[in-house]
Amino acid sequence: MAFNSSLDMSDGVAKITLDGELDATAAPAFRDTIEQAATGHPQRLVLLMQGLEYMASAGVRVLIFAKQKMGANVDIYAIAPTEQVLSTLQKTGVDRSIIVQDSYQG
Amino acid sequence: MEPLIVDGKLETLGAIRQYVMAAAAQAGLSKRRSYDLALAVDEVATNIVTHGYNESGLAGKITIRGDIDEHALMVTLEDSAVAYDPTKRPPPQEEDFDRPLEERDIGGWGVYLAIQSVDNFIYRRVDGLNRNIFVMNREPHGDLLIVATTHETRDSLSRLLRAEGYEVEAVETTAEALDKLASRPFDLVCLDVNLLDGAGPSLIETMKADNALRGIPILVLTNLDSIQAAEQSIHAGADDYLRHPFSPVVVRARVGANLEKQRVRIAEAALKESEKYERDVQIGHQIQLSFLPETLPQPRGYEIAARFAPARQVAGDFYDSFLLPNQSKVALVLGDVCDKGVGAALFMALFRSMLRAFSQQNYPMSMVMDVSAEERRMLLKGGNIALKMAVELTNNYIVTNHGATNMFATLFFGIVDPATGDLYYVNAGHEAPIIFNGSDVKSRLGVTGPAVGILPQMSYPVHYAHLEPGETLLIFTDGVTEAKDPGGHLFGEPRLLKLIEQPATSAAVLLEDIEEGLREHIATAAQFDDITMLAVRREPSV
Repeated sequence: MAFNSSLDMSDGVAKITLDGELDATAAPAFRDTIEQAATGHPQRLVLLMQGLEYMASAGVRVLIFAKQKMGANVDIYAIAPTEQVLSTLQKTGVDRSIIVQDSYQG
Repeated sequence: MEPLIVDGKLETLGAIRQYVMAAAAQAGLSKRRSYDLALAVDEVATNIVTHGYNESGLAGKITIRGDIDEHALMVTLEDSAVAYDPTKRPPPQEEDFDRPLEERDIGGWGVYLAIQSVDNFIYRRVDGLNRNIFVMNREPHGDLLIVATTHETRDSLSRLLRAEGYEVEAVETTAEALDKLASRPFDLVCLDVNLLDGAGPSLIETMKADNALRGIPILVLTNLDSIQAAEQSIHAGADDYLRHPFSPVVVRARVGANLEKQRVRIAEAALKESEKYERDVQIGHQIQLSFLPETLPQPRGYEIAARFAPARQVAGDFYDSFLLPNQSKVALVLGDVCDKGVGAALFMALFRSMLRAFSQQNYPMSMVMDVSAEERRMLLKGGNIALKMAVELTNNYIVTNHGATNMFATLFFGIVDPATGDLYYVNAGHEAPIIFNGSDVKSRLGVTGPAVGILPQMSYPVHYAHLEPGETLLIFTDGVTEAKDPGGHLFGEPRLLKLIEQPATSAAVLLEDIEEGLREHIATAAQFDDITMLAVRREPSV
């Protein structure tokens, strides 16, 4: 399924909803959305992953890029990743640097 | 599967993943392992496109092929881009996982993910092509039980282990764990160290005292440093330990190693068991041979020969020949118990012993009821009541005492008087023996009663035939006519009749010739049924 990402900025929180398959082909689009979000200088980046069916290391690289772009003090939240996507976050140790939650209030 | 050939471009990555998912589905991999394989192939394919082709200014194809055998799914990626061996890339170190995201090296994770996600990864450079081979075993990966007091421990370890493709169940207490262990088999247990010091026996003690659970590896989940943790787990009787916080690499290695150890243990136990079984079968074979006559009677003017080739070590066929009490008449028995293997062999021994014992008794004529005048006259000839009674008593004994086993035998029991060539016989559902003289078949001794051991109180009338000088009686089991060649074709009666047309100088040579014909026919096929033959040749008068 084609990848899609949509950004919602409010109260210093950048919420990005991710859908479909995030592979090397889709990563540039995700990176663009992150860059767009970074311009708003959010304090927090919330990734809504419920609809994200697939994520390759290209997605991990964009997360690293996000942290570099937005600054170490901006927390990244991964909300409701599928078991498979979570496993990629775990295998690469990304889950140690971001906050994984089942849901996000606010 | 048919290979798929695509352009080495990023746009084709989706098609490659779809191909892999279809192959994984065909191989019956779990959803999780299918995903892992697709991820691994996708990562390497991405490398081929971006580094191998694009950055080198090259263009070319990627060929993907899935091969499924009994044990594994093998996916092969081939490309003509610059040589690149993913296994040569140094894997990330433990400290790389803990490094803040923003300080990380951006490269290298794809290859690491790819190699981590499959059971085996091989790279070869062949004829100017890169060949990347991904292997996923088709065996179930393992059922694991986590017993931990906090849901954080249960959740984090469950996620990690599921990510490795294991089936995982997690419970909180020792009692729940024992319920789970009783409900279905598990391959490994991860046990919270906090559950070791409760009241009553620990889960480890309970499992080690239970024959069914004793062999399951137990990993203690602990917070201690490595040396203390090792001491603690050994002291508790566990096999190994896992330390908080759980590192995916360490969890993968420890759980994998303990499961492997367990598999080796099970395989060794199975091997031992099968060796023991082999020995038992060998002993069974020896015992069975002792139920066949060591030597055959050779009355003057006659030659008696036999052949016995069981399909397995132990057989359901048997033959026998012995002198009756008055020393002048010879009993000829050939039987086929309806099954093969150990069960049939036990019954073969029973049938053979009963027929031999019952036929050597004297029976008053009053024991024989409801027979025609003609049969009565025939029975009055010496030994014939014993022939009839031996078959009928054996039949009743088997039906009454062993009816539940559904074991029965077809058999031919004949008594020949060497002085006259008179042959009285009972054919209980057996292949019709052949009396022939040179190339001419004189008669077939067809069925005279039902197979022995099916219905109680059956009557087995005695029939008469005659063996002239120069004639041979051939008794055989259906393993002869129904022997199959590698194409599944039966040996058949016409072939048997053709073989006996060749004049043989003796009964032994005749059986050798038939056996040779059978061996040629069976050739490389497995011998399916026992092959047993008994031949009685009356020498030509001089």
